[in-house]
Parts: sequence; C-alpha cells; structure tokens
Amino acid sequence: MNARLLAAILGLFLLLGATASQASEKVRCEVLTIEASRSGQGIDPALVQHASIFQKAPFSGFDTFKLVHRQSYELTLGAPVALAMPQPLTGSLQFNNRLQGRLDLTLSIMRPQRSPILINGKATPGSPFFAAGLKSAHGRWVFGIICDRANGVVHH
Amino acid sequence: MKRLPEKLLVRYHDGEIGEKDMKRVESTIQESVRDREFLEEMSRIGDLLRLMNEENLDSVSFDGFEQRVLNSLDRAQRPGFFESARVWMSEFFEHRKTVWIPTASLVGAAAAVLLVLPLVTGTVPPATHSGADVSSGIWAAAADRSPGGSEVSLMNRGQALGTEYSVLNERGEAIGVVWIDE
Repeated sequence: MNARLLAAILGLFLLLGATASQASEKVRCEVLTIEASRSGQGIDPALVQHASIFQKAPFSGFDTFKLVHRQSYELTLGAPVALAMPQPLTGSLQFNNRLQGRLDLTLSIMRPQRSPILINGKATPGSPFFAAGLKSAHGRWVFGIICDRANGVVHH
Repeated sequence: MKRLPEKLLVRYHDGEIGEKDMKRVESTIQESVRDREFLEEMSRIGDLLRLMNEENLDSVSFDGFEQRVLNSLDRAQRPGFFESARVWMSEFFEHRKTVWIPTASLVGAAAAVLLVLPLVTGTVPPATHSGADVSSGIWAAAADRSPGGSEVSLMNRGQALGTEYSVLNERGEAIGVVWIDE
C-alpha cells in the first residue's frame, strides 16, 4: 500500500513538472516598427536583411523603409505582452503555441474609434512575419515580428 | 464316415475337454484321416504363432525402457511455456509489489511526459533556423520537419479588412505579410 502511494505521488510530481515546463515555455520576439514611404531615401541599412521582401508586393509601391523603433520582448506561453507602438496605436503580442516547429502568435493592434486588428502569425524561429498598411505621418506603418527561443539569438 | 465337430477338435487340441469327450475324439481320429489332418493343421498353426511371438520378443530391447517411461511422464506433467510464464508473472505481481508498482508508475509517467503531453498541448520542440545552435537531436528533428518561413492570417475579417501575401525572401522562404486596408 505504501509503495502504491509512493508511486502515485512520484508520478504526480513528474506530470506536474512536465506541465509546468510546458506552461513556462518562453520565446523572445523582436518587433520592428518601420515606416514605408515614397520619399526616395531607400531602405534603412538596419533593414537590409529584409530588402528582398520590401522590393515585392505589397511593398513594391514604396521606395523608402525607415526603421523607427526596435524592441525585444520575452513572451510566456499564453500571456499577452503590450507592445510599444507609434501613437495613437497600441498593441499586444501573445505566444499561443509551438506546432510542428512553427511558433504560433497573435498580434493585436488597436486603433482609436476603430475595430482592433487581430493577426495570427505562424513562423519558424528566426523568420519574420509582417503586418502593414496602417497610415503613418509620411506613408504606412510596417510591423515586423521575428521570434526565436527565449535563450536563443534572434537572427535577421 | 461321420466327422467330429471342429469346435470339439479345437477344444481337444487346446486341452479343454473332459475325459469322456477326449476318449471319443481319440477313438474317432484313429479312423478319421480328415480329423487327424485338421488336428495336425492346428498344431502347425500353433507352432507358427508360438515361433512368431518368440521372434518378436527376441527383437525387443528393454535397455533404457524405464528412463523412457520416466521421460514420457515428465513431459506429460511438465507445464508449457505460457503456463510457466503465467505462474511466474502471477507470483511476481503478487509478491514483488514493491518492485513493479514503482517501476510501472515511473514508466507510465515517463510515457505521459514524452508522448501524451505533446499531443494534448499540440506542441513539439521548436525548430531552429540557419545559424541557430542545435542543442539536441529533438530540436534538429523538429527543424527538419518544418521548412523556414512564415504565414499570416487576419483573424477578424468581419471587423478589419486586409489582404494576405506570401513573399519570398532572399533564402527562398515564404514570408507572410498582411496588408491592412485603411
């Protein structure tokens, strides 16, 4: 009887430990805030690794891509994190899942007096996804999200 | 000439008749050639049968007979493999609970951790991309399963308008872009 009790407790601890390790899974995401415009200034050197993307639709109508802000966030599974966004926008990013090697995230962008924009992105670690099109002072906002393991390095 | 019944002659040959019948047979066969021939024939057959039995007995060997009998008994009484395994497992589970219960629990818990939880949560170890360190074989396997790149989708199309694009980057990976219409 004692042995059964001991085994049951041990099994429970193992299961709890595994669940806790899943729940505490983290990723590190970098959010790039880019302003796209037609001001003839080219692509910001800090964005050169994305130049091939910015030359194609839907970005091909712009000739200037300026990195306005760059910030890293550590996301815990299931917990949304508020993002620093250009006024008057606010936003959050949530790590939902990791499925078949892809990180599943939800980007939420709130606009005053407008419906929020909810975007689901699935990306392999280190690969970006973009949400763009919102009006900025000189053109359009482009938000790039690149995520990787929390203890890994985000590559561009 | 009247012949004796064959049954009586057989009994005479086998020495199974009384004195009265014996005298009758003996007086008759003095005169009856066919009855004598019948008795002689019976004697010959008896001799042949006796000879055959003696030959068979001569060819029988009793060497190791006792051991063969014992072996046969042993085989007949020895339990089969499944019966032996059943008895062994029964004894093991009955008297070795302190061994098998913790072991089975540990194995079950390990199986749950390794197999069930990833299925329930729908997660697998993440992939790495080029340049990232591969810290274990599991991570490497996950990386192999999933091509690099990304995809996006607008979740609330009823409230926000947008167009989804898939753009190839310099590595040929499809990168997801959603363009929000404003």
